[in-house]
Amino acid sequence: MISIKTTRPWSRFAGEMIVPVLFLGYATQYYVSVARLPGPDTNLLLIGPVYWLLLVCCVSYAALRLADTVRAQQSETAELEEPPQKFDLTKSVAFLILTGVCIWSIPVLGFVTSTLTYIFLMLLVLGVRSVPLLVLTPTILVGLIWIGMEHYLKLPLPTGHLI
Amino acid sequence: MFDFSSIAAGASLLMHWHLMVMLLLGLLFGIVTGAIPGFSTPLAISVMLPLTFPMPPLVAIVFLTAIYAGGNFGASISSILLNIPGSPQAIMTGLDGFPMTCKGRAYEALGTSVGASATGNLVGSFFLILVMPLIVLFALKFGPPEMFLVGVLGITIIASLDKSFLKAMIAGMFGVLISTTGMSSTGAVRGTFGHFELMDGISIIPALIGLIGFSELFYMLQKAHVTESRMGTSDSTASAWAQMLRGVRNTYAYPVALMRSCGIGVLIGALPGAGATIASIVSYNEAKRASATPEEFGNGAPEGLISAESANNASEGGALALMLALGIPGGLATAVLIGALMLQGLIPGPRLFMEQPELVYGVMLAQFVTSVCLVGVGLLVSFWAAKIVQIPTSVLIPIVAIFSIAGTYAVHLLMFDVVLMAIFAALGILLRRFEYPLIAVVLGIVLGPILDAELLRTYQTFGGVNLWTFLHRPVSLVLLLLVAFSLATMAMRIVRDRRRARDRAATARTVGSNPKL
Repeated sequence: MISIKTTRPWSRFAGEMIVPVLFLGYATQYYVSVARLPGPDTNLLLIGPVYWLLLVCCVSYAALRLADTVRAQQSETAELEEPPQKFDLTKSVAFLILTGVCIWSIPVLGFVTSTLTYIFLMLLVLGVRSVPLLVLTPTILVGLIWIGMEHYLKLPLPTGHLI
Repeated sequence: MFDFSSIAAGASLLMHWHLMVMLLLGLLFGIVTGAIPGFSTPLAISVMLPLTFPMPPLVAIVFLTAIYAGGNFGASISSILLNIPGSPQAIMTGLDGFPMTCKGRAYEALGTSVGASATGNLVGSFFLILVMPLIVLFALKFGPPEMFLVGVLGITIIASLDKSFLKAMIAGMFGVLISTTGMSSTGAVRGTFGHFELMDGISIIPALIGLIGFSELFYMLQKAHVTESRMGTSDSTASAWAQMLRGVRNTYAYPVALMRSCGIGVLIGALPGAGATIASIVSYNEAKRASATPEEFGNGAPEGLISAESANNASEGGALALMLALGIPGGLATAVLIGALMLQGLIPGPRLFMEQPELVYGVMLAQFVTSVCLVGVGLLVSFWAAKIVQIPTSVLIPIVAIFSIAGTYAVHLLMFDVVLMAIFAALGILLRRFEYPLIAVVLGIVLGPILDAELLRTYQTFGGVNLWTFLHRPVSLVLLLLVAFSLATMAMRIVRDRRRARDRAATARTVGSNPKL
């Protein structure tokens, strides 16, 4: 388990700026690319005011957080609004990696193979050690989805290039 | 005003036992599929469409409208139990439904949702028969400026979603911006990065499941069970039913909020292109604004749950009124229903009333029966569905993840949607980490296309957009006043909350400096 909240004011400020910088960066790129298209007056009709509003909100937020950080630094007391949240790093990283790999492998190995493996590995990583549960959960679940979608609802599941 | 002989003929058509069986099956199918993340109501109706071909017209339409009603309620189940809305119309339901589950009140929340949904459906059906011509006439007064203002009214809720007004605004405006991705009606291609799959814009289902659902699963990893408290989920069967029935009774403890939400639902449901999601957003906003305890909203307030659920179910009545009377689809689900009518050789619109009045009244009266059946079927499915929160998260997370992937894929049968969901999931995890209200991004994505399209239509119709465009039309003037009123009350609430917080901080400092106090 690791703690994910920092008590240092400047580290916290840097963390708090990730989302506004990310959003504003994307929004600026989007605004500029749309403004270059023919007929910017109609294309920017909504995008223009929304972009400027987003910019004002991001700048105001950054200014307020900066003022808070300076105040916290001067008083030399790191303000903790709530106790730091504990995170199970192994489970969290495994979930992200396994889900990413599963989504990547569906077009390669097909839905059935990828999801069977994904559920089995996820159960193992999350601490399930019961053999019937490890075998039956993926089989029943993927079987249900396959029968339901392929045969009952006539919605074809993705097949892989390899299988 | 009423053709009583046609109403009686329509009622007699409902007496056949096989119609009741199909109605119950439709409700069950709608509720179960509605509860699966990604399996939207239009999708549920469209996959069942081919089955209705050999059925008599009334049975087919009643079966499909029962799926519609069931799906509208079913979407709330996963929203309440797992904070993963089955469909976009349930996004507001989870705001108060999931906190109730976390407090061990899952059965009560589901009961309240059943009560509110059935009441919304019943009121919608009542309006469908009684005041359908009036609703349709009123809805036709809504041009592009009015539709734009309905979107603005919905978006004003963003400002009140979080303790931090700026964080909510940043998230909401970003949602609006990315919702304009794709080909506009002027033919401009915006922000697709060369992906043809984005030409129609960002699909709401991958965004919803990724942002809210998958990010919820990530944070669920840290818990052994969905609920911290076992109360309300591990109790005996009798106790579970007692809690669900208490939830149903709770619905009627807020009669004003309930009726107001039903009214908003019917009216917005009758607007072409608006639908259940906008109805629940506007209704939730209004309920919060009018409530004596607005601070409870978002923390498990039954009033919030009631306002969202009753409005999205009542909107069905308005949408059906528009569809039957004028042949105009209020949304995707009614567009598929029009297809079902055409499959039966029927063209919805005024001629249908003249040529087959008993069929039209049969469909309308079936809505009353559906509402009553929804209570029974809804409670029964909810009773079993609530057991999901007893499953340890180590087993539940892989199950929900796979259903989410399959459900997202099923919408357009595209893996691109699944990849998009993964991107939104990463964004959702990041936003939750820094305590941004995810619902604000979702609201932006839902309302953005309406705002964009209607503003452009206003511009094209009036040769420009200025305040006068909105002031010289009576309906848009009323809506503009409503928006101004909504913003003013919100600003007053923000100022009042800040003042209270400052007072509390000052009191705490005084107590801290003087330990005797």
